[in-house]
Amino acid sequence: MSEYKEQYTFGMDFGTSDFKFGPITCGDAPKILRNRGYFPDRDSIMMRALNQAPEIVVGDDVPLYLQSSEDLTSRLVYPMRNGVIDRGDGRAWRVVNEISRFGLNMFRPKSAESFGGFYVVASLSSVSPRYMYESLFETMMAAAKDGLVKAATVISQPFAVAIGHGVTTCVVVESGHGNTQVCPISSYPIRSALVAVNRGGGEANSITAEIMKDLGYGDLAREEAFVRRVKENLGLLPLNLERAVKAAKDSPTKFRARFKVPGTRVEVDFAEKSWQRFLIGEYVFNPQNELFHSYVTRGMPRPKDIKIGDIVFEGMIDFGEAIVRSVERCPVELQPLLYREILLSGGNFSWQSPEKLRDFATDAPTKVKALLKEKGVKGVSVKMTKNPQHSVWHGCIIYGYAVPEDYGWNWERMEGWLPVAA
Amino acid sequence: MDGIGSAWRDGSLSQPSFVNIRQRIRQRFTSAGLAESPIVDNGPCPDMLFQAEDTSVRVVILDESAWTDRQAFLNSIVKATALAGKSNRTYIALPKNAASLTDARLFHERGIGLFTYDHRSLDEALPAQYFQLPSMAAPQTSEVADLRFEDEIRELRAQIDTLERTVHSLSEELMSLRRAPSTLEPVETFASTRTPSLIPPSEGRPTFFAGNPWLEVLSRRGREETRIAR
Repeated sequence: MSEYKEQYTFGMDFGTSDFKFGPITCGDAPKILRNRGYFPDRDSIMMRALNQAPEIVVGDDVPLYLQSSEDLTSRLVYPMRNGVIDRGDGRAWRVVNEISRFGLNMFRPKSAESFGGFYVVASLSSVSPRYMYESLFETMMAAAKDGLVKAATVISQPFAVAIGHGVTTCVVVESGHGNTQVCPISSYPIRSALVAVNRGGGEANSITAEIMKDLGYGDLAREEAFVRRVKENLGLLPLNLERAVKAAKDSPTKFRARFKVPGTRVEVDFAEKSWQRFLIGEYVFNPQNELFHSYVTRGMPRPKDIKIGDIVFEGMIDFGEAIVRSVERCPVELQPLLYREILLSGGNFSWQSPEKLRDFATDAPTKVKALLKEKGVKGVSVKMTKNPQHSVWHGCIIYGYAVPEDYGWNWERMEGWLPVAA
Repeated sequence: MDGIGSAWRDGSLSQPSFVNIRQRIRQRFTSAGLAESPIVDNGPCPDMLFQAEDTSVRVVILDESAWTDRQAFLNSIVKATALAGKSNRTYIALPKNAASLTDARLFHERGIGLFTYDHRSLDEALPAQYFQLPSMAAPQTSEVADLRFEDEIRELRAQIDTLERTVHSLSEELMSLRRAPSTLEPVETFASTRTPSLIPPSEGRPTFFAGNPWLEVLSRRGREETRIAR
């Protein structure tokens, strides 16, 4: 492995919410920015008067340019909201281009004569179609003209998670804001066995907002960021929903939950309806329970099956079923080895399990084990990745460091280096 | 009864008159020990200049009528931008309803402060940056400078004398040590005990590299396919 790559291997993780990036010299943690870009209104009188507004703003400066809240939906672009960018979505690709260059420029050595561009490993959702890879390579080629990139490659996020965690045969379940991907790995990602679920942290937010409306907090339920905080602070993942709900209804005081925003008078109190805390976690893992029907009939959108690129994202399939379907698309000999290492990655698997409620509220690995047991799969090992937030970036760095420079890009295996420098 | 009183009768209570704004700004700076200085300016909204012993403050006022006149507004902004750095502090005063539509960051970047006002109050929304002006630096006549140089040369001479004496005494001590036979046992030299060990490059790698089997698996990429093909 070359000494050059010991300094100039660069990882980029394009998550739905955050862009994590940095060279190998960052140590264990990458730099993190919101994966978004803002297109300021350049016609506004102030911007024109001082000729100040750039066409697009990324990074920590975005809040400084935000204008009216009505404009946010059209001007603030999160390119990876669903893990996939449409081919013709020019603004989303502008953000990807800008944020990539921003990240590379941040770590460009000031005076190293030996620097001839980074070896960049970018990571995309495993459901990304080929044109996304092509567009990202075009971005890297453009950056190469400025001497920022020497060679580039793109790997899928579940593959990067497996590398970062140090397991060569496993099933990776990566769950983000918009969707969940189940991907078996056996030295290579097994693409034909990929199962995508159209459900992620966003669905937990939706059910939390519905519950808040029912409890009389309809005004607060409109603020997505606040709903997310309520979910994170009050939401629980039940080991068994019926049992947990019954226990919470029998002794509401024990399960009562309140969330007060520090520095404000705002408080959300679930009071005697605290049993509804369990609905939040259950809806993400298994939305088929009839308890959710009343919310759907009152207008809450049900996760739908959608097709993005060549992949069908199933909306209502539970996580246990998704894992079983994925593993059963692999050779029978390999299946026991895959069940032996199931890795959960992504912020959507971070569920608290308070000590006094441990009999009813559980963590994500235990819940997935229980769902698999219902399907007749026993003796499995389910773990959270060691560092859920950074594991994709870790995988990118290891991949970039270890893969030989002369291993060229190949569209069939979707791996290798594309020499982009002129 | 200028300002609020008459404006109220006109039904335009939201903003004070131009005279009233100037009066409030004047009060603010005179209470801080600055005196207003005259400016030759025949425009409809003349600036205000305040000075003290070693401080000067310039205020560009934009009243409500100028806010609705785009040309006048742009002129005021450009004027304030050009003035920044020519006084110790430069402010622009805007009506509150106008200020809410502007991006204060633009002023902040240029060191311009921002006052906002309405019929009730005048507030310093953004403090102005302090610019050191060349003319404000402490005056130094050539006579004063000469005296300072002479002092410094005198000090340097004294220091050189001390150093010469120290070198001379050290030299004598060294000579006497060379003449005396050494009775001391040889000791390990500093250099021999402190030789730095070579740090392998791998130690600089992040901790998540430790024991990761993928390093070996991935390093075989390309090689194993060739082997299989053969």
